[in-house]
Amino acid sequence: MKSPAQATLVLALAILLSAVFFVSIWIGPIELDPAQIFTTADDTTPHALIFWEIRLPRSLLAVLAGATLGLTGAVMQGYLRNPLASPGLLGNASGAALFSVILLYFGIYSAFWLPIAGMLGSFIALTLVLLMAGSHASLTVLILSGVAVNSVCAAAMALLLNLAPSPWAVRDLYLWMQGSLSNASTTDLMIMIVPLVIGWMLLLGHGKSLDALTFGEDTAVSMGVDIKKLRITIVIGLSLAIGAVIPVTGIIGFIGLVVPHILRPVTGYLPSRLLVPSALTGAILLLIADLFVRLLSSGQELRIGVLTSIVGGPFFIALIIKHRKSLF
Amino acid sequence: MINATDICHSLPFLDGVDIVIRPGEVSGIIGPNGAGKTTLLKMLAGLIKPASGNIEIDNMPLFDISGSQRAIRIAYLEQHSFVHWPLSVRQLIELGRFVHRHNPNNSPAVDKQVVDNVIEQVGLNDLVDRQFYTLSGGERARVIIARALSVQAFYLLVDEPIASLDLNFQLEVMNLLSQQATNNMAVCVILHDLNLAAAYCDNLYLLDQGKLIRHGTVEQVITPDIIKSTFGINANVSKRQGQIEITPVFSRLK
Repeated sequence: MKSPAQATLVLALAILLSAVFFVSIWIGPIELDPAQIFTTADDTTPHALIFWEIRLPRSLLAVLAGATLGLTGAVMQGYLRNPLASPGLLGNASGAALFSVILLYFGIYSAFWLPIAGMLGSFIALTLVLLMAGSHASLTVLILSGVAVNSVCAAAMALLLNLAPSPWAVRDLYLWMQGSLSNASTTDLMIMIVPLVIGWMLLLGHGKSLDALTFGEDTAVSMGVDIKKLRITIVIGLSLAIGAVIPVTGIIGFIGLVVPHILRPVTGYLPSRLLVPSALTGAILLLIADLFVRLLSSGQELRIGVLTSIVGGPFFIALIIKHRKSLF
Repeated sequence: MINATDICHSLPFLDGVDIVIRPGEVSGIIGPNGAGKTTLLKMLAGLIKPASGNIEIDNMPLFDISGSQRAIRIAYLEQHSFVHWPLSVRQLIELGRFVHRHNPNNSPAVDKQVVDNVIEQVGLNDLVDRQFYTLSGGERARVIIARALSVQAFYLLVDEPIASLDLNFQLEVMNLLSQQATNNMAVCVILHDLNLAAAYCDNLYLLDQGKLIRHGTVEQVITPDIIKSTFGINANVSKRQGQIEITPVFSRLK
């Protein structure tokens, strides 16, 4: 049963997202002149190049990546019935990261192969976790399996860093792992958009089943939820979405974990009501974070993954302290 | 009617169990811990497929109908029903309507009408906006049952609904279940309290170590000999005002 309040919230967030997006494409270290971008036929002027090749792809990437992190965070918390779940809890993010790092290690910077590797890595890691946990796994076993696969992936990435052929390669890999939107290109966006949208659709289509999981798996099955189909859909949806984003952005923490918590005082706890607002809020937060990165940085740009962790970590601690008695 | 014949399973163990759940009746499943009661109820709900034997619902093989069709017919309440998110009473009862999401004859107006009726019937009017975890144990039990009733199923299968409830709440919940049977619903309930089973069930199925020891009316099933052989205790069984009462013979060490 949808409420008018839910529709109003989605509309308000969509308007806010549009406003932040507008600010994001116009504000940066260089002040752009619209006349030089839109009124001349020449699209090779410096302002036109900055607008079309840097600002716009970067802001669009922030929207797509932020929305993915927010949505997958809400889905993961709903699926695991755990408010501390993050999009990468079941190994999918570190699987995508590891496969990307493997490609980068061998110097393959292909805009085509990186997302493929990311999706493959995400899918393999997630499938491994589910196989390890077994078909009737308790949530604790499932989460522990995720922690184990995350540890293995982290160790493998550390090994690759350790074996990197040159200090420059180490630096490149290390900086990539800290997350950034600065490498956004139109090609990246065009390659990632199809798997991303398919992943989103798969995840958004199962909100009601996540609601039914409120009573646990047995009751959800008795209510007609096909639990195997739900699990497979979530695995594929998360793999496509997270796998498409991570190779381009690197690892950006806390957005997926924190966004549902920010929204619950407004949306309530029903998982289905969190999905679309979480995607919109994730996009807004990542756009704002990227604005800060661009405006605050001088010289070496601050990595966005570092910023989200620096701000998100204490914010999350404050949330826990504030709500520890009522936290679910 | 749900008709299960010659149900066998290895882990957990069930050996040749027959059970029939009829509309308008409260059927009780009783027996010591580990007897296989929960496994049997999960099989009747279509959650576990037995290794062998047949389960039919309205003359159709239970496991041949789709999960969503089964969900419309059977409402199942598991033991220690758990609610993972602190939702309001109304939201939880609304979730029962989830099973009708693909039904073309259903609409938000129908959902609202059914939920309002269930809230009224279960007496939750004053609690609809309360968060589940602020409720007492008895109130929570009523909300959980209300969720199942909002399904509007023909069969209600309930696993130990009164565990750890005070006596007044135990009677409240049992009255609510027997009221559903008078409305021609088929109710099947697992109970540990033999007195409540005797008071509220039309027929009983006594299980022990995976086997159906006896079934029939309360008088046929609850006898001192049967209690001694299955539960290992001495008990007096008497009839007062038409009601079977079981009084264990206590042997307290001093």
